[in-house]
Amino acid sequence: MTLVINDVCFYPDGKSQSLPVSVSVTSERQFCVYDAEQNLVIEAYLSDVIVKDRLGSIPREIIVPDVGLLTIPASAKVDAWLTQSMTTSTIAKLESNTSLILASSILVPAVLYVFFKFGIPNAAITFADYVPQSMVEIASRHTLVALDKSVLNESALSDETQQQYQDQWAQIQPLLGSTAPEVNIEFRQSKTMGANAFALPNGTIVITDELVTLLEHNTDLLTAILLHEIGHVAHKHSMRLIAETMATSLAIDYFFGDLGALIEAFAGISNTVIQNQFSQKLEWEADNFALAHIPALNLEPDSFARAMEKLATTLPAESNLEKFVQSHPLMRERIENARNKTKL
Amino acid sequence: MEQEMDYSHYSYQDLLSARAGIDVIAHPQRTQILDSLIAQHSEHPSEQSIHQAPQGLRTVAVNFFGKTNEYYAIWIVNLLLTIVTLGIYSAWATVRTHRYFYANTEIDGHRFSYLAEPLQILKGRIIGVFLLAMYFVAVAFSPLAAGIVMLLLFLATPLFICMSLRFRMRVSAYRNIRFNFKGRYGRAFLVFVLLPIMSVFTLYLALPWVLKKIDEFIYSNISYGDKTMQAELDTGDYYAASFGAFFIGLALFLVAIFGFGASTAALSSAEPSDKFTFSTIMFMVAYVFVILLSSSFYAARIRNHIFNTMQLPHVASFESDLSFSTLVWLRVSNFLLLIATLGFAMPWIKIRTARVYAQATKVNVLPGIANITGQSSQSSSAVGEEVANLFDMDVGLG
Repeated sequence: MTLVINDVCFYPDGKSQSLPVSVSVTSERQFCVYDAEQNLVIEAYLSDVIVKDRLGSIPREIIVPDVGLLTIPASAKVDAWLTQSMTTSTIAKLESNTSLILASSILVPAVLYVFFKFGIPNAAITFADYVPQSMVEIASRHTLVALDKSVLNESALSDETQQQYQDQWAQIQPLLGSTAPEVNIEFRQSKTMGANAFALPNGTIVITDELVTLLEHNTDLLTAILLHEIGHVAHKHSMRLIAETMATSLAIDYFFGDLGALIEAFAGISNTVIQNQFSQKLEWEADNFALAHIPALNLEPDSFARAMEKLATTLPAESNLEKFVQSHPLMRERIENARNKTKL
Repeated sequence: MEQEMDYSHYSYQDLLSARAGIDVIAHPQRTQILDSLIAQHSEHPSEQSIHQAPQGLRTVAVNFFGKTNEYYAIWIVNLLLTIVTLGIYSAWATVRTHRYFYANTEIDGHRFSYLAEPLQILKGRIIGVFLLAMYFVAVAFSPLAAGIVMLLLFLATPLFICMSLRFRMRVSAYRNIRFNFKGRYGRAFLVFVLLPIMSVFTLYLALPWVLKKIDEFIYSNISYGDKTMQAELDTGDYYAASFGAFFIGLALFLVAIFGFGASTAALSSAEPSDKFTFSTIMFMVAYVFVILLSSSFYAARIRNHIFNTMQLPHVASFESDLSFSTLVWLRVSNFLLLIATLGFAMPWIKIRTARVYAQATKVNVLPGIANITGQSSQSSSAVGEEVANLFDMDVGLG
């Protein structure tokens, strides 16, 4: 039985010319190519040519090395010929398997959800544990230097006042348990940051004069805020956030990389939303760390809630939609959480 | 008034030689009559026409045959494979996607081919991931290191652009002849780094000219077989497109601001916090639309200008009539579709986008099309260029 395939296009190597030809399959392993006048152009074994994978319904391509390229309109019988004698294309089979297509349509979003929701955060925790201490030191010191040069000024608090706080806080360290990190507290003045406190991964915690003023030098409230920052250090939040941000951006770029500008904007927005979810989760962890340690330090039970309330007065009013565009959880939810957790 | 010519006694060959010899610009009507007579002639080889070079000029459409359902299957299965292989398979998926779009694009009866090997793509991706990770780590750990890495990446950008363009062109073929890109790093450094920096000092007034230089660098360095593309772009068109886009953006922005004032005032009874969020979201939406409209104006105009200007001498010239409204509608609907389907409309978006661009394009095929010589898609001499191939890659994640 000979199979004859018409409407084949032959492109001889090295030239832009094309010839109409027909392919006649003479045996299972061999085929001949004839031009319009029935002259033999090529005689080849399938084992000597390169058959490009089937893909959708694009024309099948056969490369005859050093001779040229044949393109054959896709059809069932051509596919059958090229499949029976060549290595079968597994991918093309998968792509035309209806149940797999349906399964993929469910599996892809499910797997991506699990990946972003659990995979990356867990990987980030592992990553944070493996970052060498020397790197953490360098990172923290460089960051503080950069901030000192830009938005931070020397504290206007007297040395005495500073020392008082330092002495007081030196006593809480042992009360936090043996797993608590070493911290080093610094005071700075900053108009740009306003009432704020932040922790660097090596345990340096910076408190602004503005925060001390806002909380009216109330040690309990300041300590509650400090506990929140110690929570960030204890859970290695900086390193986790770095790892999570990095992994998310890479993953989004990787899976949805080759998009137009607008679609990229969409990917950018999802990226921000996902990252904000991460950082909000970390804030909750730090809040709960502070709340859990308040009794051990004999602070007023509602210290944290009160500190948050004072901070809230410096911020614009918030609405529920802001959950998605903010890196911090909503103040009113944090205060509510603080009140609930310390009531019992 | 052009005198009517009587071609009724002409043989098919006579018609062809008359058409080949005619001055197309001086006698458009006669050309038209000749063309239609040739096309209708009994000897006119309709079936074989794609294998013969046109006698004079043959204007053909660009056809795109991709189907959404077919591509959806390819896309979703490849995406799943990419995810379960932790991204490794993405190189293979990219090759299949490009092959699908190339092989479904037809000009004058011939399809394009995409010839990249997945491992080449994978190599470029690994380097892309490495560079991005290096940058992230530097930013995270030290502002000083970040500055150094950023400077190095900035200087290397022209190199990556040249490498990527070269790679993309070399893996593209039409009629079994590969494209190529011959842009040099020195020139790339000038147009991608030095000129944009210099344009800052002109308060960006020279930016349209810089954009022209960039496009000229890209398009006039593309070659097809032994022929090089000519693209002598017009500075005036770039100024018209840039200023048009700028003023459209500015006007819309002003309208949006006044619109906000009115709409937020109307909401004065609502909670102040809701008002704040509402206006934030409205602002984001307006921002997207302003960018969309003004960038579409620029993109449509410049695409038309480039296509209508560039040509492969004696081989082909191009026509593009992509309208502003078509492009805006395409982009707005794509964006909304993508959001409404949480990304699942991606295959549809890609297919309809390719179709719109194909429909807006025409190619004038000239007799020289059959006389190109060049490296074929799989000649054995390609193996001898393995060293050059080491640097043949598409750096980046896309």
